[in-house]
Amino acid sequence: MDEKKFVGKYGLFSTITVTVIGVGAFSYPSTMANEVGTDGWIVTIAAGLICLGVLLIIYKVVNKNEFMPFYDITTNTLGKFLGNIVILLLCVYFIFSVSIGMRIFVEVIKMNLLGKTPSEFIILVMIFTGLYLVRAEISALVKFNEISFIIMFVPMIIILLFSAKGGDVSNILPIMQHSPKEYLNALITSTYAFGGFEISFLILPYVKDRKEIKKTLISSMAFITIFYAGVVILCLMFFTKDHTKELIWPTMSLVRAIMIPGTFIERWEGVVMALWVFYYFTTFVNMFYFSSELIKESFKLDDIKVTSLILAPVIYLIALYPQNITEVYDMANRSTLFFVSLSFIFVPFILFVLKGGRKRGEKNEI
Amino acid sequence: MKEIIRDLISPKVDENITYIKDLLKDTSDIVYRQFNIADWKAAIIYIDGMADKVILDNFVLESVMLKSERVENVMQIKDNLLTVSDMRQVLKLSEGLNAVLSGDTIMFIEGLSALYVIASRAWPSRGISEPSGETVIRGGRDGFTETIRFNTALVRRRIRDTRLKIEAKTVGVRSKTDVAVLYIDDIVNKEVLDKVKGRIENIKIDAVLDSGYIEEFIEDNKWSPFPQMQSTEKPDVIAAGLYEGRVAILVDNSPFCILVPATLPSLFQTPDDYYQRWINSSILRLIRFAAIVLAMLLPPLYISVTSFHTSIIPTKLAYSIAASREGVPFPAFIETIIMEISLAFLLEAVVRLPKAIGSTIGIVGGLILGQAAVSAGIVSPIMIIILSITAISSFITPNYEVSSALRLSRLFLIICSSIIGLYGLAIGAIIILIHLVKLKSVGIPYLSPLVHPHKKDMKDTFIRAPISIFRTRPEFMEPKDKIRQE
Repeated sequence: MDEKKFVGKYGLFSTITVTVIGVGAFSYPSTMANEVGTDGWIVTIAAGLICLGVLLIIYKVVNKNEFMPFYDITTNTLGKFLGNIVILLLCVYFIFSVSIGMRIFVEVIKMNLLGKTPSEFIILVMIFTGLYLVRAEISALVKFNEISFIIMFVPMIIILLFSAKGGDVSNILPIMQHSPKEYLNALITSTYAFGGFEISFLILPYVKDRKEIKKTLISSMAFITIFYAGVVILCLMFFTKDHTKELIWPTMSLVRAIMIPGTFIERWEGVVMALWVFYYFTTFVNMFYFSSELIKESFKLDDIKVTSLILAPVIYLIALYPQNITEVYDMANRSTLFFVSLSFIFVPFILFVLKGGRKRGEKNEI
Repeated sequence: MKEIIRDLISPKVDENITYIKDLLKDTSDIVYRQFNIADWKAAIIYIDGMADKVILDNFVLESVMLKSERVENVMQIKDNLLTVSDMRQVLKLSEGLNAVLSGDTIMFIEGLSALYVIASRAWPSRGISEPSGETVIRGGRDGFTETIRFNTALVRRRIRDTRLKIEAKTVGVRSKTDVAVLYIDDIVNKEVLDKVKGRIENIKIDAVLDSGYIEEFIEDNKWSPFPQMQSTEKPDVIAAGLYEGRVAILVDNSPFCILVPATLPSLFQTPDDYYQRWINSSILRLIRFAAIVLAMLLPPLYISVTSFHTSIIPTKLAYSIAASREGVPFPAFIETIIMEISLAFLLEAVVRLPKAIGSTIGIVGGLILGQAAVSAGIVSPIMIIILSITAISSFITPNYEVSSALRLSRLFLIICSSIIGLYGLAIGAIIILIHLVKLKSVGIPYLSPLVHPHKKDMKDTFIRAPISIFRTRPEFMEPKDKIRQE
């Protein structure tokens, strides 16, 4: 297949960053505080390094397979049958994770913005918008990511910087107070927040300048890690670890507590809520596109417009299945281990270890 | 639909005249003048009102009729006798007739199986004046007129380079409108150029009345409200575009020249930005950008905040808004729609009115009607304030087509936010963003250089950096010759 290579450095950077940083960013400090108290940021950095390692392995895999699309790499390495199974499992993971995220997103919207609107409607609107973008093909997706990055992070970073004023740095201490087992558990939970980097499998074949890829991957991972760690630190500074443990969405509470004198918006969470739509939407639409693309290849349907229409009701149903927010988090936690090991460990390593087999269409040479 | 004119030119003048008279019967403005050049019969045909009789009387007829002793045979007339600077020999009758219908004069001579086309086009034309839609504070005030040849001259004055190409085409089966495609040969992106030329050649309609027709035929997406080409009346804008590697299309009878490709950030630039001091221009650009964002977001924000999420604004502001909305029978959404519609009515009316009444109506409509509406309790004062801020901010857009597109987008956002508040506003903004991101102008992404950014292009988007650092042309255009300044 010869697609045009149109993704630049910034395109790759922004795609990975906006896909990874999603709704998780808002509850992350609390989960960390519950697991390892004040060491959340250290665990975050460690998790970031691990994910960077996995990302570089992915790069090596794609590189070795001459930047073929992900479906081709997997079926070449593992054979058609096993390859298809792995791909379908991955799609299940993506769709599931996106649907859970959708439900969390809807719950937050209902709590903060629209108490009386039915969840079904909120979800439908989101899904239809996602369909609109997916139908526009991958070049539009990457361009959308590039713009979303600016919209998402420039205001957020400015807002968060203002919150540093009310915090107390000493709240971050003491450090290193927990047992290795707790650190390990926290590490696993933390890596779940970094999920989404698999999108690089989708994008790397379209990258224009292959020499700069490694640097771009490192810088995007660095940005993500610093963002998460920064949010954790700011929450700890402002709320102390005990209070952070109790908040469901500490980042939101942080924003709520900000006082910027002289502005006419007193309660910034409204603005941040509007921004949050972007955070979730970018994660959602990128993974939705990737899954639709993989299903399209797997079932040999020619058009991503068809597969995305098939996946849309699946997301809708899964998102509406849990009865309340606790069930949602429960479902998420129970499936974390399986999916994380699949996506973080199994796929990259297996593809790395088993060298790519025949090229598509060519004979096998002994 | 195609005209049926024979190609053959008879060596007998009378035969030709009879044929033409028969073809062009019932046309009272065609003049047939038969005369003799020494011993040969001759005739000229032209259209009264389109041909310059001064040239014909003094330079064609006089020398040909009075000094005919200089020539011995028919062939020499063209070289020794016809004292006109612009003439050509034509072998097809249909071509000659097209020339007559365009304002040229054709001459038949007995014994010659060809005819001469003498350039004599002259018709009353509007003088060069400042385009009313594109006023500048500093910069040239000449604008294009309806004659394509004068317009190409205005562009030529700013590009005295041998590599400026002006390709002529004819579009429209019945109108045969002259269309000129301008580009600088060693800068332009060849792919863009070929696409544009190919699309123009595919136009098969019977008449092209304005460059707007051409624009609609060659654009990428006719369903988008956003213009994918820039149309302007100013030659310096065209010249600047050509220097960036764009292609310009001039259409006869239209003072609006098209620049292709166009990107949304470039549609927010004015020539003023480049002729004034760069710091002032940069600040003005930022203000322009802020105003447009404000114009798009303010009414939907008002609806969201008053109808859905009243807890977001500070209590004092909430009270004053509530107080001003007391007694208003309509919900915020209906209020906003009423004001959007009245603004649209007002703008349309002011455009059509003669200048004398226009400004009065603006004052009457704006001030008095608005005030009356508030007193009657139909809309709240705060709505009027929002409306005025929105209206003023939307006029900051330099390009009229873009401002209508933005108005439509604002309407869309109003509807979205009236259904589901701030969430609707965010989703609506995402939908508009997706649409803009999908859009391409002859293959170039519409939001360049905001998408696929090149570091060097940023110096001319949100700010205007000093010209001394404009070393390369915009990279998203992928021009052939990248160096602008050594």
